[in-house]
Amino acid sequence: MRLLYYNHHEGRCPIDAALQHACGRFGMCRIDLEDGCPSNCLSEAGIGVFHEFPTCWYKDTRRSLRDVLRDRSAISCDGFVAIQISSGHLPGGVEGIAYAKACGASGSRYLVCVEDTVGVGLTGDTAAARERWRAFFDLVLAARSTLGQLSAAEGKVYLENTLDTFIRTPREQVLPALAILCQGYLAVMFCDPSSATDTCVIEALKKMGWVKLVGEGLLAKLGLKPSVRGNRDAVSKHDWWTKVFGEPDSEPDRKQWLQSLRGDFEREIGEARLRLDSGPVWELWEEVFAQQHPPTPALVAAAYRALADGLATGA
Amino acid sequence: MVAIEWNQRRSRLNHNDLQGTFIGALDGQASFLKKGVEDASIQEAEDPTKIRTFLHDQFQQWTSLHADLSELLGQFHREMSPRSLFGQLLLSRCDERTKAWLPAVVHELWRIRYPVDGLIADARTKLAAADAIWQELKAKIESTAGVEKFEVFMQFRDNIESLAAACRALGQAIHLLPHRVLVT
Repeated sequence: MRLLYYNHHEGRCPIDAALQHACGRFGMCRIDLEDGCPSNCLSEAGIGVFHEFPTCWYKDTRRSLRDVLRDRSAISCDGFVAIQISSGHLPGGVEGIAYAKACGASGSRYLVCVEDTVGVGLTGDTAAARERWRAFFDLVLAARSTLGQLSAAEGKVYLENTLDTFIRTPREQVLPALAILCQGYLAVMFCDPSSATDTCVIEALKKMGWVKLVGEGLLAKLGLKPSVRGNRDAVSKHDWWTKVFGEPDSEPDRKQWLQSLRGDFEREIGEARLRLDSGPVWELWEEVFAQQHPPTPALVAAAYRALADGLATGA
Repeated sequence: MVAIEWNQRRSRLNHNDLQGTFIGALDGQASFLKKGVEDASIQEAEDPTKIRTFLHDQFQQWTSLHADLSELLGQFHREMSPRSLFGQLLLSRCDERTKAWLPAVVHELWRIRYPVDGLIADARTKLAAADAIWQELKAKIESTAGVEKFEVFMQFRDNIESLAAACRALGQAIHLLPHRVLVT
């Protein structure tokens, strides 16, 4: 079998090194679609990986990969799986949201979109990325042998079910991210931990290791003191927190985003309900995310302590 | 938050390759040599060259396993530190200015909260200890090249048992490393 590989953004987003390692079992065929018709290559390949924005697929006609797959009679092999990948910044409003889906099936050709290679660990020439590609191809190869026995519609559902968990960003991410932002905020606001007077804040600083880190002179030794100290204004703004969770700029989008994010928080808090005192987390949520107010040290410290207790014993 | 890839590699190398395959083979060989000491008929029935071939194969496996385990331990801090989360959503969305200090701070706090440096150092020490036993055994076996007698191989039993024990201790040390990215 041959693997077709096309990377429109080779210079900016080189991913082929990890890919090459992972697909040693295939003959790999690189194409440059801008130089000509890919139909010959397509007809010989069983899997295609296209690092591409949809609108760049055909420079002149601006057709999407899905349209091309639908039209090209040259792609004749059963169960041909085209994997369209990007690095999480697709035009058209899905920027940053890590999700993937089998979004098209035409005859026996399937299009799988991985819209955030960074989020699902497929980017970079690291051992981890190689392993991830290898595991991904294992799934695709196993799927290909099954796809031949299914109708296009059944195959689409099958691919969705098979690949969905793999190409989604791992779950349980909002609470750990929030816990890390809490640490950053507290570190900046209490660069000198002895300036803290609130008991809850002092406890949080101890719990996160900040008192020890500063006390041992590591902050200065690592040269981090100036950059930490200089961020008081930044971490005090609500959007330092919310942008990490993908807050959109426009108000209608924001409402939808807030609702969706609240769902993520509820789900993760629900999963940790036996260990996590969610009250302080929701208080921080209300203040910073819902009301767009700047956080206060006491609020952040309480949320961090709750998260530290709740996440430390998590599975 | 689970670092799937590193844990998968740990599971494959530690549980499958080291504990399942390698230690199992050493135990089997040590047990066989022990039986040979107790039962002379085994010595007569066994072709001694097979023992040398077996040991040679194990040494090749160890060479590869040693390199893989060493790499695994070397990747631990990079892949299991919460700093690694800045390479993926959601924290990859932090602005560049924040990325200049927060990942480093988070990494240092993680090292302070958990004894990860000590655990890695311990695993490395145990890997080196196993390797030292292997080197000793290898030297012994090479010094007997061409002498294909059962009684010659019997004297390696203690070294083989020591190597298996050292590998068990190594496996335990690797198992003790955190199984997820600890963020708080």
